Amino acid sequence: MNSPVHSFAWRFGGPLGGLPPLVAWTLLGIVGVLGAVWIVVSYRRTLVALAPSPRRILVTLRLLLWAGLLLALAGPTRVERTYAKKETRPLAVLVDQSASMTTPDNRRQRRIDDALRQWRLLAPAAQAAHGQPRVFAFADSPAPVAIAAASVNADLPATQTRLFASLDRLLADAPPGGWGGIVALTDGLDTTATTAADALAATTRTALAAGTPFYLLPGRNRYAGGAFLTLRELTVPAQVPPRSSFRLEVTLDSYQPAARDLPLRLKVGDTWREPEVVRLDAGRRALAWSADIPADAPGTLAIELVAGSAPDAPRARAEVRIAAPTSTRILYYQGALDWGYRFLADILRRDPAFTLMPIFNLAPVGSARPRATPAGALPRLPDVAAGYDAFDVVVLANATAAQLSSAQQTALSTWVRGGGVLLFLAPDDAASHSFAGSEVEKMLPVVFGSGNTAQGEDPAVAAFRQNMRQVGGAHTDSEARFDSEAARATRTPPLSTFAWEPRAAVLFGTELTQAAPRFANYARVRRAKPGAEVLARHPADPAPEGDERAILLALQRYGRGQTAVLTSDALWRWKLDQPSRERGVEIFWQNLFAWLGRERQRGVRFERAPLLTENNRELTLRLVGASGLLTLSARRDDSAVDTAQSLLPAGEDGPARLFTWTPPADGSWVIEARLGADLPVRHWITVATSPGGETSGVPPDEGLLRALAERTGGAVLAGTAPSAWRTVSAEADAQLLRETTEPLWHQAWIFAALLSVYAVELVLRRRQRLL
Amino acid sequence: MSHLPLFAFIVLLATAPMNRAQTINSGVPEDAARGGIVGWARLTTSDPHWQRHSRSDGNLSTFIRTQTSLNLDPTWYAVAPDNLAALTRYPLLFSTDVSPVTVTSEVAHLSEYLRRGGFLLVDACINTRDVNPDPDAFLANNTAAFRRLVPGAEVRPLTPGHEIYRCYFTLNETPPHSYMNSVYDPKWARHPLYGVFAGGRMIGLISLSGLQCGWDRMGTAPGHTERCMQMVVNIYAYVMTQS
Repeated sequence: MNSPVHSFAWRFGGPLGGLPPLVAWTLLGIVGVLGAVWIVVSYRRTLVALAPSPRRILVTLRLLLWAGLLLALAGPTRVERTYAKKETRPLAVLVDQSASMTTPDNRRQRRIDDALRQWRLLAPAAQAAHGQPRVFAFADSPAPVAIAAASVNADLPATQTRLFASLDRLLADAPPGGWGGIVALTDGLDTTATTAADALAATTRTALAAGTPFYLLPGRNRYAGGAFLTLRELTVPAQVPPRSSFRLEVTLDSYQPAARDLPLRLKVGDTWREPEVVRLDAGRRALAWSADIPADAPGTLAIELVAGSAPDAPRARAEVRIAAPTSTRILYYQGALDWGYRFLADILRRDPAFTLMPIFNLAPVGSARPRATPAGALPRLPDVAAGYDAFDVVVLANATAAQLSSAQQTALSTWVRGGGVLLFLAPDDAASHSFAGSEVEKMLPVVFGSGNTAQGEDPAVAAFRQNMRQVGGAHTDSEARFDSEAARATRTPPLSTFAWEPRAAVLFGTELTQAAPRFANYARVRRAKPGAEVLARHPADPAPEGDERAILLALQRYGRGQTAVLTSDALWRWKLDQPSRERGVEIFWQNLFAWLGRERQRGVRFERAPLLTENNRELTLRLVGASGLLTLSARRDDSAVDTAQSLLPAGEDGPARLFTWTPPADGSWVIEARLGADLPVRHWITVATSPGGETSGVPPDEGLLRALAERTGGAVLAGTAPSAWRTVSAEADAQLLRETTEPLWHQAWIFAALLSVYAVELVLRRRQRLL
Repeated sequence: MSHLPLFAFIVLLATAPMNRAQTINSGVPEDAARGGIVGWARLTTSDPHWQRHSRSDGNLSTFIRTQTSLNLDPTWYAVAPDNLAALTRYPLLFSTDVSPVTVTSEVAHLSEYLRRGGFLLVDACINTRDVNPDPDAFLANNTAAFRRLVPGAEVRPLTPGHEIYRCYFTLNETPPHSYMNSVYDPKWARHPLYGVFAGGRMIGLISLSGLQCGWDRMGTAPGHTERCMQMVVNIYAYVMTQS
């Protein structure tokens, strides 16, 4: 940290505070001149004639006082600033110019082009933090070659990639004090037959000893070597309720010199479906395909997908457990007191399939009153995504954006993206509009307006209110008269009915849509987002944008989760209006929450597990939803020989527990995760030998790049500069840590001097018989 | 003219930028986002005193609105038990005495209102000369009335440790009591609040505390009016948050 820097500033006070300096000085000057003129003139027109000498003294004293006051108003202030010392070690940029980085794909894009494009975006931040970086290039030369930044694209001999050797040599040749960091533009492929794990350990040890973090910029393209077809992802929910349906989603990755048709064969249970043919265009393609699968009786449903008709066509398997969830756990955030909660809670309380945890905001927004937490309620929304894992559905009701911190909104967004479900209830425009542009709105299926679209009040009701306000508390004798007028003015307004879209019956089933919810108020949203499904609309009111009617209920996928917006009130008026023997409200809420929570993943499950991996390359598997002793084993699925292997735990990453496994042989393997006495959760994976070589089309080794970065305190860069590079101050070359100010005019001796001047003037005025 | 510098000096000190206290607006903006709007309504009955103290209902509504996030209409209303549609516009109804509701259709309407989820708050006026001479009789009559409305309903005292006395405001008096001419009366003081329960949930509440007398400034003890209104806020908050 540097020593403090002192400076002087004018900090205007009083009515001049906050004005631009030029305006403040101008106003002060005008007032000063006018005051001075007035002082001179007034002493020229005294009631008692003054001799020139005492007049000059009195004028001088008064002018001194006036000048002192004006000076104090200008606020001379001493400022002391303390800055953080700037990182001075230089940055090294290491450019991988091996063949794998410089071979173009079918779009003539090279991996090095991709990495350089990213680097150019980050270079200004790096330069601001470390000064001009030094650029080196490597391929199969024994040491990196220093090059000018402009010649980064120059070709180097490139039959091999010596990634680890180049990093080690660069660390060894560092300037005094070491490198402030090494930015490597690479695909992470070291083709020198070095054992990756050993080289990684040695290089990271050296980097840690030198205090040099690695920042990796992966270069990617679509180069695939020869034609290939692989199944990259197959996504199904681990568990679904009986008599429901779920969606299977598959991602295919392929490269073909010419377009071709590909039959996809799906086996559900014991039944093969009719093949569905998809078109693969020429070049490198990623294709998403999905199918809706019914889930009927409880049990385990096996699924198998084969891409192609050849005997060795890529295939993937999965299992879905069909079982009723023990309960749908709802976190209900009530932004403002609303009767909807009481009625909803009463409905859900009667059904053991639901548990409800509320969060209340009893005090008005902006109130300084300490927060009250009623019994059985949580005090506030969690700040981290893991805090929501105990719930299946989060309801935000009558909330305003100001009530949710940035951390809470981000955590909620992360949780939904990972598979959570959010239901947003905002029956009034003020609350919903406050979310315009927020992190919450990004998740939701609708776009909120930001203007004032408040629904007008009935003039008759407004007049009645005004009349009652005057009677109440003012004219006691008139009290009895309000009854008849109240009865007239408070006639119950008709409730409006949801107008269901046909799609709603498909999604929810006819039981839910037969209940026609009725509501009193609703919030107007501008429009539905592309990809959103609008399931219910207002029966008459038009939407602010477009030709359709206003949206009441809309849904949208968000990552692996789902969000829904219900713009009507929480239907408590419908509940009070509905005869007690009817169950429309109960059916609506219970079915809606059960449907929303149906895909919420429960129990142990694999997260982002690959369908294909390489022989003898370490693989890290992530499992979430496990609490307790978890064991993993791997065995060949296509061999009768007992090949079972235990997988080693490798720590935790947030809510995920990590296990590592190095496949020993090619073939189809099944990984089983067991938690206590529960049924095992299984994941199928195909192991194949990597073709290897510079131009084999092997994709960038993302795992290696991540390990290099994480183990040395650096980062894999993806569009944003690491926090260590960010300049948080407006100062050109340092970060301001502290600023203290000392008002120079606010001193006792200055006040004493000004008072003394005034006192002397008063004494002189008395002597001259002016007082 | 002679006092101008002194005046300016005082102004300067008063507006000094470094010493001026930071003014924080602790008020609640009127347009702060709230829940759905709902009105405060009295039940009109054949009780000649059903509108007693209603002149201050507006003050109570304003108090609730400013102290909580509830979107309560600052105007009070009245509804008759012969109109079920009107009753169901208000999730909470206030009554000075529900025992006069004996007409079959009115009983049926109020009964249906409670079954649908409505809540009835009954508070006794403590005027022992003209209105309620005997608190025990008031309690017995209203207990019988609730059982008439919802057969099987239970009326249970809410002990001082009950959540209703501290779910929002923490009240030292559980509950605060008003007294005729502000003279302590043990016959009234011994009564806590009574919850009316049916099907495992509270559907109504009987108060013999003269809360309405309190919020109408009948009590002379300092802060009594506010304490009575705080008790009503707690009742409101409890009913809305505990199903």
